[in-house]
Amino acid sequence: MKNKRKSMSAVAALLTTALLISACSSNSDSNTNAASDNGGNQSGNAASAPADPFGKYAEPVSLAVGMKVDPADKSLPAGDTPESNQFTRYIKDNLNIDVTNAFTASPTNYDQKVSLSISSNDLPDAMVVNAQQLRNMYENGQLADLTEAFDQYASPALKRVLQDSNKRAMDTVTFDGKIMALPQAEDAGIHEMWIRKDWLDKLGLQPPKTMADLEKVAEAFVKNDPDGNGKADTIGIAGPSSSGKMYANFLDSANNLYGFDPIFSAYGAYPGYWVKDADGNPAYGSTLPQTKEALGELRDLYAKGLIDQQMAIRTDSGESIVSGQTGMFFAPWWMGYGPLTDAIKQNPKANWQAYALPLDAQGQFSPHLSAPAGQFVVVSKDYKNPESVIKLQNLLLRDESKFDLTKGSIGFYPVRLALGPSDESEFTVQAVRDVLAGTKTPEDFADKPEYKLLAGDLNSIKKVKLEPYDKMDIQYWNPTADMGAWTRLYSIMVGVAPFVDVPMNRVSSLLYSQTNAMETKWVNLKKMEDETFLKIVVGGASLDTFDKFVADWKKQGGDQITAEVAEAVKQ
Amino acid sequence: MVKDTTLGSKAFDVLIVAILVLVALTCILPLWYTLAVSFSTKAAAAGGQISLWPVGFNLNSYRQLLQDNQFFVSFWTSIKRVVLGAGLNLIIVPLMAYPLSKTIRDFRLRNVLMWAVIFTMLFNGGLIPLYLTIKKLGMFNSIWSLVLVGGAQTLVFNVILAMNFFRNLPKELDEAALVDGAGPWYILLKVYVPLSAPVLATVSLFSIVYHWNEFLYGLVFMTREQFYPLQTYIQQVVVMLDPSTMSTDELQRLSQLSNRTLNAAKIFIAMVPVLVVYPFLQRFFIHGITLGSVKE
Repeated sequence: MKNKRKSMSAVAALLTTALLISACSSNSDSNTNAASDNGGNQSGNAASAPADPFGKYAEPVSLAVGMKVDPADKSLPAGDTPESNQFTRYIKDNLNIDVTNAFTASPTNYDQKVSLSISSNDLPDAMVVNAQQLRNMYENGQLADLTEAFDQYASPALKRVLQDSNKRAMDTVTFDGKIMALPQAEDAGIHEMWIRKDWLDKLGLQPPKTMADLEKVAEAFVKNDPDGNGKADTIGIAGPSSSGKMYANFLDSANNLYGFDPIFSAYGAYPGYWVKDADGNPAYGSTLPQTKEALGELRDLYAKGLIDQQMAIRTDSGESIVSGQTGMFFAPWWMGYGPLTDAIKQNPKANWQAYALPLDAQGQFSPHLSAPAGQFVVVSKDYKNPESVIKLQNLLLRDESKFDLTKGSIGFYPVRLALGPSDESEFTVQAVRDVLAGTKTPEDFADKPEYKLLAGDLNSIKKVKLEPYDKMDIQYWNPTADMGAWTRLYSIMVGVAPFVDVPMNRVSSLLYSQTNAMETKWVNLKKMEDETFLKIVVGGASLDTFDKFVADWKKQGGDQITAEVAEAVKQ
Repeated sequence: MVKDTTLGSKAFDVLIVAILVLVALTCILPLWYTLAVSFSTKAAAAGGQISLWPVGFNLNSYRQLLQDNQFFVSFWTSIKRVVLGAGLNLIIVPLMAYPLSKTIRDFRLRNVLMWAVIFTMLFNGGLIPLYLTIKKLGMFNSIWSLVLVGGAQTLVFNVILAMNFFRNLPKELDEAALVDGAGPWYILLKVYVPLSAPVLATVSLFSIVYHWNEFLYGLVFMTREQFYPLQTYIQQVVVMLDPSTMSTDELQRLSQLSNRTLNAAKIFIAMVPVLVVYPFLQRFFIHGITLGSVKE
């Protein structure tokens, strides 16, 4: 099913190009027309009154958006719909904007629906797109230029959050000096080690600092019956599921569950990322010798039975974590929202703790970072009131914490960007610690409305956290008191804490988007890479297959792509 | 028939039965497993601890399912789609297959038409032209986009199947009817169709199963969940989220909503109609035998 979807979107992408080559020529005149229209309007506006970021339109303005609606989300009260709910009514009352849905789609199908709408040039007024779709739309000339609207209508708070706090994200939507979209800034996307601390304690071990330690711990997890059921049924290190990846790559750079990202970075290897090689030239991380070394180690771990022997076969690697078979996995910070909720229901003593480990040869944790922005709000160039979309974001940023989310989850806010200061999670860790230590009270943080979840976090921490307040092990929590609060606060206090406490050497990809040659060649190169690496790890091919892969990769377009990347980086 | 009772043949029987049981199990076990999951607790399902028996038996999933209005709206859409689609299929297939089953002597344009039909089977415009066509026809969110587009896609195969069946009917029946003064309509409706119950049941079954299971067009042509047919509705809740394509903010909201036991209940209920239709159509397969209708 997955493959089918992929090939379909590939077909869609191909057709887009074909269709739009023909569409572009006719679009260019209407483009200039629209621009001059707009200019006239806005200067007229500016002359009569200064632009008001929260100004209510005198006449109702309509806005048709593409909406992501999760079918499992039943938070809307009876009678409300994705098109008519507390958010749309609030928007109508405050801004006089009538929001309608051009289409809705579930999260699993949304991307496909958006691609279809881009390919067929059947666009809603505004929608949320991903990086690739943003680039396509820009090249197709389908986007409204938001520069002027942003300058005039973005509220000071919105400008602060986007231009100051998340400048890196803002750069990704600025094409030739023009703002073509609004970015949703992502957190750093660091992958860390989650480990069963109760198993470590039982076996008298410490969290593994180096790769050598890690191997010892994994071996003890597999051989020494850490769950004490007398059966050799435990897994040392979880591996990716059948649809998963061994490492995040420059295109999908965040939220890789059960991969081996920290193991690779412990060897200074960044497969899937564009990094500098030994000579300082841009190179693809998967082709560098460090990656070979890391693959050799993984192959070794797998052969010894320390990595899940069913990796890449399981439909969901989270299952063995929930059932208490797995001792260690690598994932982002938000695992409280992931398998851990069910894991502690199965075994309330499963003490999952997170560490910024293993360390590399220099004794440092050197994770790779995700793209600064993964999702974007775009406006169709044919839409007459692009500033209305900016106003929606102004309103959301100002009033998000006022909504009662039991009457409709925040996902129903049209074209919502999750906006916040870039240190939101880290700041929360520190604030919660201060409140727990008694050095500050929740009231001390009342002047921080842009940290929209902070007030709630500080008020509920003592409900789910037991004394002693400075220990984060599972026995010092009370999840059943408020499962929702526990989920978030455990993720924050256990998952984010290493980012606050451990100095890190953060590595970015030189590039987070596709170049021209990739459009035709990347799918095949990526397939070759995935298959070769998987075979090497599970022992289906020798480690030296790696060298052949590098040669083939370069020959089959890799060299050309590398040159393009070097060119793009120089600019 | 004489029964062979040697040891070798008995062993052979045992082997055959064993193989058949194995094949049957591969079909039945997934259904059984889905049923077992639907009766289990959520945490057990998330932990993959269910094999053949429900863990922590309960009816919560079905209770929840009863409150899910959209499930039944989609269910009804699918029923409408199947009735319209299979009905239309049943009318058009014999009408098309009958002339095409004639030789070029009886029907001059037969080969041209046949190639035109085959052409559509091999080539098509692709998804985006289809999307634009349906949009221009104003059939978005209409049941007819599903009935017609889906119907057209399965029609050719069904017509070829029926055509070949018609060709194998004894020519003498045709000639006898002609001599008795029957026109083509009369021959088709009174001679061919009654004799073709097996093939018509087969193409109907194909059409019913296709319309019931097809989910992609629902996704493409419907802009609102409320218009989705059942399998589209189920597809969107069952497909695993790919976390790397989503923002962390979204994942935090969505990962709390996944509910495998409820999904299993939905899948199981959605299977029931087709399971019921199968044995019902089965009886047509043995009827309509033309053996002995012609003396040679």
